[in-house]
Amino acid sequence: MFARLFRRSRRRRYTPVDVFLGMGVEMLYVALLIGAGALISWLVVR
Amino acid sequence: MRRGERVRLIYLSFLAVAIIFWRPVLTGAAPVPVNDLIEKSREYDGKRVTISGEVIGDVMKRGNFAWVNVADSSAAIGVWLPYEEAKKITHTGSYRFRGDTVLVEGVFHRACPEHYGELDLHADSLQIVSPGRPLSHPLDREKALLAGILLLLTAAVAMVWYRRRKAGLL
Amino acid sequence: MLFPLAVAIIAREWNAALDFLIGFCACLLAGFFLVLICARGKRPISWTHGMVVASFSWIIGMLLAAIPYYLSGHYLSYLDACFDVMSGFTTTGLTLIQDLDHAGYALNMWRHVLTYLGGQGMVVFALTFLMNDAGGAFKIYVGEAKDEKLLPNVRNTARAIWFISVVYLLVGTLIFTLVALGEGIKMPRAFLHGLWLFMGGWSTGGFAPMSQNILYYHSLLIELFTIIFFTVGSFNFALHYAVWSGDRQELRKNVEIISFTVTLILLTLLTTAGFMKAKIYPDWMAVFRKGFYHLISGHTTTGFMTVYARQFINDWGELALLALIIAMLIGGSASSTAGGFKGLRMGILFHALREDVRRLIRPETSVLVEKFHHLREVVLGERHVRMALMIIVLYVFMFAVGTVGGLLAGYPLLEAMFEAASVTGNVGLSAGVTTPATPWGLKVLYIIMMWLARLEFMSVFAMFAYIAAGLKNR
Repeated sequence: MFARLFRRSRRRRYTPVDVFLGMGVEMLYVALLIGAGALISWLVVR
Repeated sequence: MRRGERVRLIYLSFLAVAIIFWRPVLTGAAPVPVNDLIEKSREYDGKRVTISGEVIGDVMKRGNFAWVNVADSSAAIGVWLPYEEAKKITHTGSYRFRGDTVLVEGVFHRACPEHYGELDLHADSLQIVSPGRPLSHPLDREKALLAGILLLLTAAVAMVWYRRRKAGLL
Repeated sequence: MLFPLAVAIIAREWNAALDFLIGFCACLLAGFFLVLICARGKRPISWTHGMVVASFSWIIGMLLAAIPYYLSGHYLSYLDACFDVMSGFTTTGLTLIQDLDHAGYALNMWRHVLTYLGGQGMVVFALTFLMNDAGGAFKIYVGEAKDEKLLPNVRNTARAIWFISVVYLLVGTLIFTLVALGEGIKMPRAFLHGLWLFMGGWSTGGFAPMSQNILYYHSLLIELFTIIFFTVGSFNFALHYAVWSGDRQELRKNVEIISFTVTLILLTLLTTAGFMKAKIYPDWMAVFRKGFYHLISGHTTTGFMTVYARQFINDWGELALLALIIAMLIGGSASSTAGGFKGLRMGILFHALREDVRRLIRPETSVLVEKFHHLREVVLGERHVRMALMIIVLYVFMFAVGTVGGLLAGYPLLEAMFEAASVTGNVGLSAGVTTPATPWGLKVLYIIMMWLARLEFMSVFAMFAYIAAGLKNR
């Protein structure tokens, strides 16, 4: 892991596209969690 | 005083007293401390209650209604009321102001069905008991003195430190 | 402290400005003093030194940072002020402040900046801006319980952490400000609330600018966005770095994410079932907004609340509370602002169990390798399992001590357990035990627990061992 990350940091810093997509993916994951929570609430209460 | 007059006097006094206390007698409550509502939420759930407290923070307009948070000495609660009523509020509590003291009467909900389970009060009217006023925070002289002394001390130590550092002793 | 000082001056809160000026001078004086005493030799910093510095700086920092709090008059005692500082630094979120609704902008700024910075690690802060000596820096950082090695150079790691946090700060503050405006709060409060909500959320601290915490806003949008930002904030920073560098698959494969997802869903099921039994909420949306919200708030060890503290005890029912307590103890990801056992250890335990079971059913001579994925494929080794188990045991033990402390102070079992779990996991949800009226012994116990939990025990133990060794050799 060391070597791989080290090479990556040498080669390039974060590209804006990656940062943007990265943030998007992270927030999307949480949105999915929220959806799961809502779904469970809905299913159990019915 | 003749007998009839005395009777009339008593009757009028009674009427006067009744009129003075008319509203609270009708609406049935001395204000309840907010903390009571929280602790005994099941007991008060769905009942009309009256609370008295200071409006804090913001009057949050949501369509034709508004949320207003009212705090008494025990706790704060959210009040949902028509914006027309909420407009009466002139000051809200913050660092600079003591907010309007209000008397609010409405239905208390332990877990409001309209607001997805929140503990709140649906009010139809709001009475300003006393308007808010600016809070003064006069400069604390002792603190200013302490600050001044410390500032000088710090500057002195900083100079010593800097000189030592330059001389390579640090 | 210069930042709240500036805020105080801009907002013309003169007494607050004085408070911060006094605090600032106290810090400088203390700093000068320490350097004068300790900068004797030029010995290279050893491992134990690193541990000691990390642990010790928290205590001194706590005492100094409490000065503006105490001077503001919003605290009933200096101990209460220290409690809030420790709570902020460790991103716990339990608070003893009085009259928060009339607090000035400078004071609130200080509260939230403390949690934001505390979340990033006091030491990382120092590394980025102050330290010049590269060799000494690394060991101090590891003592800070963020034991991932993001980048080989510690300063670059610190910079990476700051970069990620600042980008999210900008995005998050913008979003919250817009939502606040939409929900009826006007400028400049909309911006300030936006900023503070982000800081309290991202750092998984749980401080909010009003006494009703998130309930003040009565807003589904605010609740949803706080969930998003505090959950993302609870992720491992190495994970952020990997994902932001283009490796988005990591989000799917990472053992901590998997562990968190699994435990969250299981505990949500439990909580919801618990609600059904206790029959407290009218419909599924209420169950979602009150139940799921607090569960994920607790699991990420944030501590944002949309109910009153007493409602946990009065309304929730024991099953739901138990699920919440477990969520608080398990906590978030390693190398993040979250607390608790950490998902990484839960994942390791699961894999260890799985390995043992597989070994049982296979012929004795077959070779078995159990692996888990954390930024790369890692072979599960004895050391991993041992460290994970030890730290979990230590957390559980501390939770027990906290519970006993609460009982001794006179609180009922459920309240004592809940609060102890909140302190152990650096969460911040309260069942009403943490008040100014709480016995001072319990407050001190909680302060120590918050501190130990945040530093994950090892640095603190090393510090005491070092002191003991020093005394012995005298």
